[in-house]
Amino acid sequence: MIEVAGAAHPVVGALVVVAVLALGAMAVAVTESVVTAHVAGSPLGSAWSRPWRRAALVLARPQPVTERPDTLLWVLAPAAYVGMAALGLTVLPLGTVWAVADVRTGIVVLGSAEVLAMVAVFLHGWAPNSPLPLVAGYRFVAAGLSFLLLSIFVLIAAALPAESMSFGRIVASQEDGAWNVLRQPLGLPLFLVVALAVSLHGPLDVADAGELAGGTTAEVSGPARLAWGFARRAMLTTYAVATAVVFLAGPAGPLLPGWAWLAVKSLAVVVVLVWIGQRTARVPVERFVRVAWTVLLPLSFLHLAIAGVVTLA
Amino acid sequence: MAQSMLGAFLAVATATVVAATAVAGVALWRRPVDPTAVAWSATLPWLGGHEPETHAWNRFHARYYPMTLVLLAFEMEMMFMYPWAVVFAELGTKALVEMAVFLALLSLGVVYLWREGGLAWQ
Amino acid sequence: MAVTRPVPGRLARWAGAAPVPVHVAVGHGGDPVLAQLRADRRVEVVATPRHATVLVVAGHVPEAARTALHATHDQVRAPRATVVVGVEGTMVGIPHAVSVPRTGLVDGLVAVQHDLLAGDRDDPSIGPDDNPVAWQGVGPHGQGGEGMMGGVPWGRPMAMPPVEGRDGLALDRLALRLGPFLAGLPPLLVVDVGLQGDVVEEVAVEPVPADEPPGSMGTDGEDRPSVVITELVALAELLALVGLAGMAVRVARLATGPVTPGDVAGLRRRLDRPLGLRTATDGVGRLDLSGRAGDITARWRAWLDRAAAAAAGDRVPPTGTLDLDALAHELLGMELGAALLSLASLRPQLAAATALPAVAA
Repeated sequence: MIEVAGAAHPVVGALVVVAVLALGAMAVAVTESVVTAHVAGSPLGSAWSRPWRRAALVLARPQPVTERPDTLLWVLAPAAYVGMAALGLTVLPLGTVWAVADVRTGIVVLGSAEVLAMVAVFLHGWAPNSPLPLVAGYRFVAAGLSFLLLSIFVLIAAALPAESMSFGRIVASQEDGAWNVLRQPLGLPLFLVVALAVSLHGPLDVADAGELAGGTTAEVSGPARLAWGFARRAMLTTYAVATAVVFLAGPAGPLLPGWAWLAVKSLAVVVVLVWIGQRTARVPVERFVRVAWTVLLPLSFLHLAIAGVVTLA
Repeated sequence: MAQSMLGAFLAVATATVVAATAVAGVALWRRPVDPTAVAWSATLPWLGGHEPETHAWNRFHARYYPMTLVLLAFEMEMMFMYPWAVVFAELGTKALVEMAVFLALLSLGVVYLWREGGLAWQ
Repeated sequence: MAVTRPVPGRLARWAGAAPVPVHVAVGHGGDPVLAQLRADRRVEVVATPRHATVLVVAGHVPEAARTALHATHDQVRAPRATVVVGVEGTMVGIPHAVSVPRTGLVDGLVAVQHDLLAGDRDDPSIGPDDNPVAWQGVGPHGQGGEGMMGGVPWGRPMAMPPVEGRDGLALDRLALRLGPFLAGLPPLLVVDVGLQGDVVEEVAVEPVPADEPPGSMGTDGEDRPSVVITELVALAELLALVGLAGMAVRVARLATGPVTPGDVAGLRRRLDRPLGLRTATDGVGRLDLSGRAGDITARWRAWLDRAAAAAAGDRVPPTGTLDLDALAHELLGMELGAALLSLASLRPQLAAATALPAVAA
């Protein structure tokens, strides 16, 4: 039985969070590069080191300047976005007996990180004072308000058998019973939708869309662009870890230490998400909003009902 | 090791601030001190070669405005759902039925929104 | 001689091995160059000049698009460089541009990026250093004081003429002139849009007037691109717009070599799935133009049909012309992204329309 305890010291916890986000973002970048090369039919040999070379070049380029930007918000947007990825990660168990913060209201914390991340993305579109990023920022809010409910319903369903809002207890309940991927089968696909949308990846990357010249990134260059690219991948990392924790019993598993199991499971989720992103084209935002409210939301009600009945059975 | 609630949230806040500060540092690195020193022609908003005719910031017509109102109703409902989830197993079928009725009522709002075309852009 | 502060050594070494991010300004007959750049692993075609180190001018840019080309040139952040393919820089009014033959294009780009990182090169901007119109904005960012009203920042009014919206609210209209070098738009097309929120409520589609008869221009004196290249480049651009970067590279690579009908059939199998390219295009951009109605999916399927027929050696009828006014009318009421994707899905027809010499009105 897993008993999650908090970190020894806040600074140790913070360093662990930064390290996990950095490693995760690197893993996401390499996965993207390899999957893209595979889909393109290009040799995979150089795909492993391509993200580092690209990142170095982006870093070497100058910072963005537009006519009359809101520079403060422009700097704050990637910072806040990464901050929210970090906030979400603190309440997730990263090892068998260890989360950075042993918070009983874990799913509420992750939910608030998601809402504030939405603000960060909007600001990233607003700050440059340029029409295309602005349109992209506003359309992201429409998508964001649509996936918000899905994630909360999925997380609440996971809390039912655990009788707690703590992610540690959610893992423990899966160890005692069955993994949530089996007893709450609709939850995983719904949560993957949320993971793609909140981290601006693949078919649900409505904010940084190609048809709007890169959307919120249209005016961004240099280190600020690297910061934003890192932020998106850090957010994907947090949601991949959350997916592994909520549906695949996170650190639970035989032989290997807990953190290793969590890393393996999270990486598997990353590979699935990136693979979807290179196979499926971007969904028009209007359609996503309609589908989210008329199909996915009723599905999440059904999901909650199934989870409730299974819990009581 | 047991962690007090205050300690836990101190850890949450520390990690958030450290991560955000590190990234803000990257976003600020080598940023020009005086943006007006950059040639004006290089700072125009990118539209494909032309200057914009109006300032970008405007009173934006958010087409999804009706949807945001329905969302608010659901968000309030979440307040009740969090404690409900914790005691659900204890209360059993009664809790399930009660939440089903609650969600059914809220769903009427979604049906109304959809029927009124609140999810369409035009 | 170093003209800019060089990048620190180790960073420069890593950066120097990165693919060259290029923004491509596509002119008449630029499609083969575009395909070549997209297909090459040493180059990355990006969505905006802000992400590029080098601006590539592909094909012939008519006189009427020079100002826009120079603005695009300036919007690549310094240190920057421009590469023209097969012609001299003076031909496009950028004398300091590096001229590279098509065969050595990618090697040339890599060399130029190397010089930029070493601090040996930085092209000056062409446009004015200072805005000819004085700052008249209200508030620290020109957001116009209270309620975003008032002020004329840079002589540019706030988007605030009162327009009656659906619910009787006075909301602003954003007037944009998009193109001719916006990534993914058909070459040399300018789109004037009036936006309310992100919905197109007024639009005019106009090609940049051509200044030489079509057929005489191409790159390195080549013939005009074949049907296969035109259709496959259009497909690659569409794929890049909807986020399928890997597939875009695969299609572009196909366009650069000899194509068999089997290749096209293989492509169709990969793309024509409900959760493939069709996620972005099914039911999007429904247009009813000159009797042929259909969504974007119908149009890219037609590209594949035409490419397959051309690859099999069959005669393929010309793309035909488009009534631009009717097209503009059909775009009304679309979300901006959907409208731009619709235009991208008419790339072969619109490229043919813009290549026609200007008709005196």
